[in-house]
Amino acid sequence: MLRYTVRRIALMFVLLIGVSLMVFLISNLVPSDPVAANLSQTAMSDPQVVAVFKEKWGLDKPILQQYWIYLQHLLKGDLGVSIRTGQPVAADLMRYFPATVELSVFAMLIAIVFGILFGVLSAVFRDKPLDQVVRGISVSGVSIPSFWFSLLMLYVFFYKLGWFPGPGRLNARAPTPVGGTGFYVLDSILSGNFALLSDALSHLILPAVVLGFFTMGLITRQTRSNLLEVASTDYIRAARAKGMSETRVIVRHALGNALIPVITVAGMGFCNLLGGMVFVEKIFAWPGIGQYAYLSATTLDFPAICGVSLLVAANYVVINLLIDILYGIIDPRTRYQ
Amino acid sequence: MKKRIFRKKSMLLAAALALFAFAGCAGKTEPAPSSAPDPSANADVSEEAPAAPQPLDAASENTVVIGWSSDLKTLDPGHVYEVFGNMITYATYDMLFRFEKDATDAPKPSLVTEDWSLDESRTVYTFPLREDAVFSASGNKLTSADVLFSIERVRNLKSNTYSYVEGIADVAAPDERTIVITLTEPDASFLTKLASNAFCVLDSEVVKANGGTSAADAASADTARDYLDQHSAGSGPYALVSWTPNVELVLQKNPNYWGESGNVDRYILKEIPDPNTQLQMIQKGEIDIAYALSADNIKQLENNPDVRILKGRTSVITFLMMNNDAAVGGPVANPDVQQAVRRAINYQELLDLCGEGALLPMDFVPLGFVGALEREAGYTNLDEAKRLMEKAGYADGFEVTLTTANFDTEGMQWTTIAQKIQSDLAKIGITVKVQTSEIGVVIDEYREGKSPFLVMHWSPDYLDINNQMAFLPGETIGLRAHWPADANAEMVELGAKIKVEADPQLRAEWSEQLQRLMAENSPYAFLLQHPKSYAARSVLSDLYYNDIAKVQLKDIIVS
Repeated sequence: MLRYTVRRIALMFVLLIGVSLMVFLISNLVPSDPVAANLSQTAMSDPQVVAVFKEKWGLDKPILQQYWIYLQHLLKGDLGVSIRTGQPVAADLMRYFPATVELSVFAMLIAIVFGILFGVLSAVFRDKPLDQVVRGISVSGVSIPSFWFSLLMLYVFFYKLGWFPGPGRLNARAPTPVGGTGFYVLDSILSGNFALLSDALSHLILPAVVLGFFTMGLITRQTRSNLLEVASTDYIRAARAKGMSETRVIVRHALGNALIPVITVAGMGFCNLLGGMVFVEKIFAWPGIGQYAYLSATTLDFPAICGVSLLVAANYVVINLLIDILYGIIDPRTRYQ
Repeated sequence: MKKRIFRKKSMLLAAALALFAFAGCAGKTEPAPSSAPDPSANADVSEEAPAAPQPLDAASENTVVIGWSSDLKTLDPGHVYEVFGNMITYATYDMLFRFEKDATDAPKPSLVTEDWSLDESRTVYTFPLREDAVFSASGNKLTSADVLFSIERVRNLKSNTYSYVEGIADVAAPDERTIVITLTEPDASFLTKLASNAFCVLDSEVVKANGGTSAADAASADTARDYLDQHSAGSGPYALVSWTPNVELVLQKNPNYWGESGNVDRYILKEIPDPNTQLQMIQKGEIDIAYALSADNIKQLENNPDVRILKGRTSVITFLMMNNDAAVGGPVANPDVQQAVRRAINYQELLDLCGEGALLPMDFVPLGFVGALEREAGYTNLDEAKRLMEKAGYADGFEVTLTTANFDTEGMQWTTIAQKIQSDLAKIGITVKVQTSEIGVVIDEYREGKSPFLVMHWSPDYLDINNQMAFLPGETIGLRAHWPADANAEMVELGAKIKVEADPQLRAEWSEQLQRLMAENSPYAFLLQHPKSYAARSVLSDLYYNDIAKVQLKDIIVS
C-alpha cells in the first residue's frame, strides 16, 4: 500500500506537468492577445509601451521557450507572477483558495449528512410518501441550475425573510481579518473570537446549501439504491432472522457496506465544488478561486490560468488517492498488494 | 415488532427534522443595521480576530460601505488605467489640477496656486505649488521634487499612463515650490491630462525607499507597485488602509488634508459582482451605495424612500464600425451603405432600451466636451435609407456579420444593442447575422482591422476632444476601420487645429464643423452616450459623479 501511494504521488507530478503543458498550449491557441486584454486602447497604439509589456511578461519569446521558462520555475515551486494582479500566483492562490475550501467543506458536510440521511429514509420508507418527497428533493438537487438556486435562496432567505445575512464571508461593515489561515471559522475558533465565528458561520449557510444541494441529490440516490441492494442480501436476511432490531440491521450491518460507493460520489462532488463554483461565488460575492479563475481567463493571464488549473488538477489527484486509500481501509478486499 | 420498527423510523425522521432545524437556526441573524454604521459591532468582529486584524478606529463614526464591481488591477498611479482607477486615486492623491464635484468642462487648480502661467509659445507651463500639502502617511511636506519624481517616473515606466506624458519635453523644479513643464508642442488638452492619475504626486522619499525609481530604466527597475498597491503615498483626502483585490478596499480619512472634504471617516468598498445582489443589499441596508446596478435594478428602487437614485453623465459612447476596406467589409465599405445604416437605426428606441439619461451625440464627440452636438430628432429615415441602398446597388439588400462581445457598458449588454441593430437594418433589406465572442477576441480583431461590421465602445482616457481624435482618418480607430489619413483632408486639418488651439471659442467652432462633416461621412454610426445610474441610501448627501473620478469620495456627507 505504501509503495502504491508513493507511486501515485510520483505520477501526480508527471500528470501536473502534462496539465501545465496542455493549459499553456490551449491558452495560447485562443484567438486573443494578452496585450489587448491588459493595456488600454491608447497604450496599445504605442509600440514602445507594447514592447515594454511584452518583454516584461516574456510574451516576445516563442511559445515553447515561454513554456520552458515557465516549467523551469514550476519545478522550483514558483508558479510565476500574475499579469493581472502583479502578485505571485502562489500568493494569489493562497489568498483565494481558503475561501473556496471553507465553503466547499461546509457544502460537503451538508451534502453528506443530509444525503445519507435522506437516502436511508428513502430506502426505509421505500415507495411511501416520504420516499416520493425525498426523491423530489434529490432530483431537484441534481437538476436545478446553481446560479438560479443561488438567486432564489438569496431572495427568499436573505431579502424576504431576513433569516440569513447577505452575501460575502462576513458582515459587509466588518473589516476583513488580516493574517491567520484565511479559514475564518478555523481562525475564529483558534482565537476564541465567537463573534467572528458566528458571523462567518451564518454567512456560510446559504451558499453552502446551494453548493451542497447537487451533491446531496447524488448521495441520496446512491445511498438509497445501495441500501436497498444490500438489504436484499443473505447476510441482512440472516440478521433479521436472528431477531435484530431494524435500526441495528441498517446502521450496524447494511449502511457500512452501502456507503462504500458513496465515498466515490462524495469525493468527486468535492472536486467539482473546488473547481466549479464561479456562479455561486459571483452571486454570493464570495471571494474564492472561481472568481479568480474567471477574471484570469478573461484577461488571458497565462500564469494565473496555469496556476488555477494545476491546483484543480492536484485536487482531483489527491482526492482520488485519498478515496483509494479510504476504500482500502474500509474494505480490505480492495487493498492493493 | 412492527411497532418497534415504526418507532425507529420515527426517530430517524425526527433526526432529519432536527438537522433541518439546526441549519435554519444556526444562521439566523438579525438584519444588518440599516442606518449609520455601528462601529461597535464591527469592533466586536475584528477585536479578537486572528493575528492582527485591522480594527476600526474607535473614533470612527461614519463608515460608508460601497458595493461595486471594479476592474482594478493595481493602485499604483504610474500603472493604473482601469475605469475605477481614478475613483481611488482622486481620494488618495493630489494632482496639480482636478475635476471638482460633477464638473467635466475644465479642471481647477489643486496643488497649483491660481497664479500659474503659460508662456507665449504655449508650451512652457510654470506652476507655483501650494505650501500646505502634506503626505498622509509620512507627514513629509509635498515639494516640487515630489512632482518632478512622479512625472519622471510615469515617463520612464512606459506603462498604460505613458500617453498622458508623451508630449512632455522637459520637467524642471527650479525651486522647492515651483514646477516647470515644457511640452514638445502646444496641447489644448494638457490641463485636462494633468487632472488624471498619471499626474498623481507621490511621496518620492517613501516610494524610493520601497523600490520606486524615476530613472530611465524604471520600466524594468521600478518595483514600487507592490508597495503602492497596499499603501497610498499621497496627500489626498483619504489614505489607503488595505486592498485585497476582488474582495475589499478600505480608505481612512486623512486628518492632515489641506482642503475641504466630507464627513465620512472610513470607506469600505466591497466587490459585489452581481447587480441583483447589490440591489438586495442596499434595500436591506447592508451597503450604503450600490454602484453597479442595471437599468432594471434602478427601476425597482424608484419607490423606495430609503434609497436615492443618482444619475450621472458618462463620456462613454457606443458605435458601429463599418470596415472601409471592401475586401474586409464587403457591402458595408460602400459610403452610401454606411449612410443608409446611419439613417435606418431607430436611435430613440435604442436610448429607451438603455434607460433614462442616455444621450445621442451627433457623432464622435460626447456631450459635455467642447462644441459637442446632439443628433437632431427625426434623423431616422427609412425611405432615405432605402434610397441610399438602391443608389449603392443593394436594392435587394445583402447579408453581413455583425461582431459583438459578451460585454456590457454601464449595464447595457452589447448583444442587446446588436439585436436592435439587426432588427432595424432588416427594414432596409440588410440581413444581419450577430456573432458574439469573448471581449478579448473581439478587441483583437478590432485592433487588427479584421472586423467587417462591429459593435464597440469608446471610453475616453481624459475628458477632452483631443482624446476623441482617434476616430479621425489616419488615427488609431480610423486605421482600424481602414480609413486612411488621405480619405478626408478637411477633417484631418480641422482635427490638427483643434488639438493645439487655446481659444475655447475657436475650438468649439471647429469642433462643431468637424462633427457635422463626420455625421454624414464616416465608417461609423454613433449609437448612444451611456448614462450612469447608481443608488445611495438617503442618509448620504453631496454625492457627485463625473466620468473621471466617478463618485467623488472626497465630498460625501453622512447625515
